[in-house]
Amino acid sequence: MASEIYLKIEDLHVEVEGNEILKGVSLEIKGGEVHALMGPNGSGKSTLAYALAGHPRYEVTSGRVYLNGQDLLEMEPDERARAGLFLAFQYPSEISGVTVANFLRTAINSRRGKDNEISLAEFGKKLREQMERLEMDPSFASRYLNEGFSGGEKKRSEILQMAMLEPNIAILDETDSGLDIDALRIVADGVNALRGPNLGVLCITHYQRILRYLEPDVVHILLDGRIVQSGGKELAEELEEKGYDWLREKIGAQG
Amino acid sequence: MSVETAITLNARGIAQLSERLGEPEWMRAKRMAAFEAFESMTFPRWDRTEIVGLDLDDLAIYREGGALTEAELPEPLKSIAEKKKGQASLFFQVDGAKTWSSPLEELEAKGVVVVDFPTALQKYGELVKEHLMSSVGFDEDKFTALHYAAVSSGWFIYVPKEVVVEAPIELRSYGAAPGLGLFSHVLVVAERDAQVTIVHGSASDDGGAQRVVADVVEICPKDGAIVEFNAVQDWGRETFNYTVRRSLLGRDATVNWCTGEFGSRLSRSHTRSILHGMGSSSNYLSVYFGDGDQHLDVGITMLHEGEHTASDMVTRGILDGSSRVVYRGLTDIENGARFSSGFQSENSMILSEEARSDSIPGLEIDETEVQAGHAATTGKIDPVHLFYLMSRGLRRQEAIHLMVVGFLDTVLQRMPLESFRQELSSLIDRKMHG
Ligand SMILES: Nc1ncnc2c1ncn2[C@@H]1O[C@H](COP(=O)(O)OP(=O)(O)O)[C@@H](O)[C@H]1O
Ligand SMILES: [Mg+2]
Repeated sequence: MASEIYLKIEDLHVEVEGNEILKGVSLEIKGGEVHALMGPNGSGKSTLAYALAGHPRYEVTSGRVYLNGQDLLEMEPDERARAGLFLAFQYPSEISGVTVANFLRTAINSRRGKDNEISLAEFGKKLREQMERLEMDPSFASRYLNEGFSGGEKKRSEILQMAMLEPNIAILDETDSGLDIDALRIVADGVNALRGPNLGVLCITHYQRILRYLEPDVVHILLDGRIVQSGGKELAEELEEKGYDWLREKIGAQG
Repeated sequence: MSVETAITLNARGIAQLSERLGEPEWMRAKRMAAFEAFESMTFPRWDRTEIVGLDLDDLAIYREGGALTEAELPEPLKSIAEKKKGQASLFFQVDGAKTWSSPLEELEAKGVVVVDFPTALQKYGELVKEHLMSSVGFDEDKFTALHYAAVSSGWFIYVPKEVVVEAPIELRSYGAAPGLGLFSHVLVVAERDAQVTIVHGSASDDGGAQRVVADVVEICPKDGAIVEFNAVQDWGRETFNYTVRRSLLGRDATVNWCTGEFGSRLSRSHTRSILHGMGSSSNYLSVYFGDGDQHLDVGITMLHEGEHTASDMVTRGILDGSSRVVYRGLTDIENGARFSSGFQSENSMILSEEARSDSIPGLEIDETEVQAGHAATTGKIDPVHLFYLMSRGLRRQEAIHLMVVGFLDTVLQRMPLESFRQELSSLIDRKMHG
């Protein structure tokens, strides 16, 4: 039997402040798979990510989304997370006064529920292990969440959260951008370490760089709110070589 | 003795009280003068804080007391006693006149005095006479007059020169008898270069009856003395609380206030440092949390009179329900207070549509060579932050709780006394759980 882990998006239309940004996106990601979503600035990549996570400003006007058989769009953002969805934000919020450790423990416990809270010892061990893997200084745990973090630290913090929360479907929104090559490798290794049949990944990116480490099973190209092409990882290479203009022309020629 | 047979607020009652306490003649005279002032004065008219539904007729102001055993303490005080025995010097008062304290011999051996207010009048009359009303007069308004007319509880703390009291002295006032007014005076005298940390906790179980509180705190740090004063009020929800805290500082003296305002129906709680001595300094760190239909009027004034004086006030508060908070912060640098600095910041976070925050920061500067500044903000929960936290699986209420705690934590972290920080944290948690 195929993996029961999946995200299925059917003909999704999303509006922001009355403007239609996504104009019918369909996509299916199964456990164990890594999909890349590429596209130029403003094509709607983050809109897709936010709409899936349930951001109140992104209004789904039609379409359906299922997460492991559940109707995702019926759920509140926190319910989606507890159902197994995770979004690594392109621009994470800075939360003053809330330490990384306290936040993560609260998040894990809200998922585990009352009387099933993670023990302090188990939590501490897990946190130390994951931070080590991401080459983060232990002092990080007691810093306020994202406050004063450098761009790279924020990205690592997002992947740390993903590692701690063990989602089924993770959406990484430009987690690679702004990272130097060493940081990129650490973050990519961090994601690779989490790969397995219980995790499907949608990696949103501008560049092909991170895909060398992540080796996606499928690459999708988003242009003006539509997926205009899907293919293997060679599509990403071709795109990097020839640019989005080539793609636009090609689509234009088809259409 | 029930409240009905308690001493009540009238000329006969005040004379009776004076007799009962066996106080010196000078105190009796002050008390009677205060009562006269009380009777002749009308209620103060405060900007934005209206006194509503306050009934002082036949108010019970005193009930007979005596020593309590630890087992007889009301539950909240008992648990504090259990937790803190050995780590702090404890002196609790229930309904004013019922008292319990941990052993205080170690302090006595150093010449430190920790006694209840009536005992102080009898045993340390001259010292009390010298310092009582040194910064809060009996005729400032109707409530200070009420305080001095009816005062029968509180504490006198005396720290001899150069004595450093390591463990905190915890003073707790608890109201248990419904309807009984509480009028306690905290008088702290820290002689030259003395150091002491005090916790002053006030709470009550009002049992559905109106309670009137008129408290005065006077702190007298002599040259070079350092007093850390931590005050938390968690009065019951029928309490009208009027509290004035003041300190007149000597040369190079320091008073650091840490306060938490949580309870009461209507509370006016005003703190003032009079930076009189050259080089004196004062910090004020405060959190408040209003909910339900509470009205909290929090005031803080830093009055700079001496040269090279420094003050800083940092307040953060939460408003929920239909509560209203009026915050008045005043940095007042007088002519002659050259080379002084005074800063203040106040940030409030509003969790509901109906709550209202009035922040009135003030800066009055009558001197040129000074540094001063203020900042105030009022905000709501940032919906983007809320979404971020919820996207990790936190329920809305959990996410808000975390942000509220985080918002206040930046002030709490600066409070030096850990047990006090913990106490404020658990009060914040209790408020968040409704
Ligand atoms: N919060 C928003 N408010 C207004 N317009 C938005 C908002 N978010 C996105 N948009 C618009 O939607 C389009 C797609 O944006 P986005 O999804 O961020 O693209 P990408 O992530 O691919 O760069 C852009 O035209 C952008 O201006
Ligand atoms: Mg984007």
